[in-house]
Amino acid sequence: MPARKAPDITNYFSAAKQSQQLSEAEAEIQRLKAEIEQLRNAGSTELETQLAALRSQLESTSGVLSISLDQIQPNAEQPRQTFLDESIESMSRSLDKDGQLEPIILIQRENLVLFDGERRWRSAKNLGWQALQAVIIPEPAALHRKALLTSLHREDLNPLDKAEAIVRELSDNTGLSPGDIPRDAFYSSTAIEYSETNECCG
Amino acid sequence: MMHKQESTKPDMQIRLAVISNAGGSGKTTLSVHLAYEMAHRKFNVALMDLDPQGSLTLFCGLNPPEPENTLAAVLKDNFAGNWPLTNCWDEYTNKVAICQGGMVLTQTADELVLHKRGAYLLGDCLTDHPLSHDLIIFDCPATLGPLPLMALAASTHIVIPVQLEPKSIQGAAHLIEWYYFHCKHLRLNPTPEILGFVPNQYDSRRAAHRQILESLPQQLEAMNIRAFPAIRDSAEFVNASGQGLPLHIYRPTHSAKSDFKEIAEHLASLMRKENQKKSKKST
Repeated sequence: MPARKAPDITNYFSAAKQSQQLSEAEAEIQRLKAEIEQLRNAGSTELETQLAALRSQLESTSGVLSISLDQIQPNAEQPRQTFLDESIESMSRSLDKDGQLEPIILIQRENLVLFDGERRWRSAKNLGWQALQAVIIPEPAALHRKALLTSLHREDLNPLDKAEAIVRELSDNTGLSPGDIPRDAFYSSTAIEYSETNECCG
Repeated sequence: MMHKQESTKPDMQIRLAVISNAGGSGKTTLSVHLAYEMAHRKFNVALMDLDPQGSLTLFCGLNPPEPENTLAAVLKDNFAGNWPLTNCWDEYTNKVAICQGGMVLTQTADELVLHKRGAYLLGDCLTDHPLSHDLIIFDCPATLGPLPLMALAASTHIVIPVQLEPKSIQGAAHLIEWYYFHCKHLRLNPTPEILGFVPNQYDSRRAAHRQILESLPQQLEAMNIRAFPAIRDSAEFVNASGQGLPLHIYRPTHSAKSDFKEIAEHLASLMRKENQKKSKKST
């Protein structure tokens, strides 16, 4: 007869613990996404003013064009990396109801790359639209694309996205891989800023 | 789209689903004794039997009901709000009522699967035709089918009775996975809280029971789930249920009745807290 040992119930709960952790992580993601959206909305007024100026300048030089959605590429350097489903949905409703109010802004490279309007582009695809009204930035070098990306968009970025944009910028300029760039300096300063932002908003 | 479960329940009402996916884990025993303990603390309690076996009818000393006087009638689309409630142990208390179950619920379970509001039906009924009781206890069948799912969606809390045996513990662990999956899938907001585990039929003479009772709290603590004190094994529970009475009435001096004290106190403090919130709001 085999020796009787105490029943070990540890293993029974491993899948249950995973379910719980997954559920908590999902709730945390939802919370953080909503917070990012809130931070972005809080700081977006100045950006909107600058974008409007750029848009009208481009409208007067090269006019508004209708660009097929197939020709438009998302911007890999888009500093905003978080898009709430709800935010895309509300944009879709707005496009569907009122149509496109402002042209999107594209950069002319090998392809037409989104500079401003990713939310509208994603929503238009969801709605099954064929094309969007757009203005095009013809000379990326002359317009200091990177400077624009960091200075224009920086205002309405959450600190994490901002930190990543800076890492990318440094890496482009120095040839270092992003992993080699010491992170402590500005990650800690953005962390301070992040907590300050939260204090002022909370 | 989100189904926000709007509720018009009284502010302090707790809806407690007693769920386990193993037979004989003590769901009905726990339901009945909690109902009595809470009535003793001056709370009004409604017991609802979601089990086709209709064990609550037996434990409450009632006769099997006609189908139109069961929970099955409540869940019909033409339900007009006249809840079929019968008083329990009315020589001893006027604070416990029961909505009986029965075999007709097997048919209800089949219909639920096709109903557009399926899992939300019981919650809908309680929203459209609210009950004023402080505590509603859903006694669920021993499988994780459509009926317990409906209880989960209608509940504010769940409690999980277990036997101190590997099969029952493993079943309860699966129940936790089921809980997380369905809270998300049904988009329950607010999510029902897990009140805790209640070990049942604890026989301190058995080494395996002692060992499991000792190691269970540690497992649960890792998940921030409370382990309530064990309810001891006693033939008198069986005898009391045969008489349709809680132990407290059947053998008022029996020491096992104190085993329910901690969970009853916990529930009472939850309801008082809700009450305080309510009165703060109104001042």
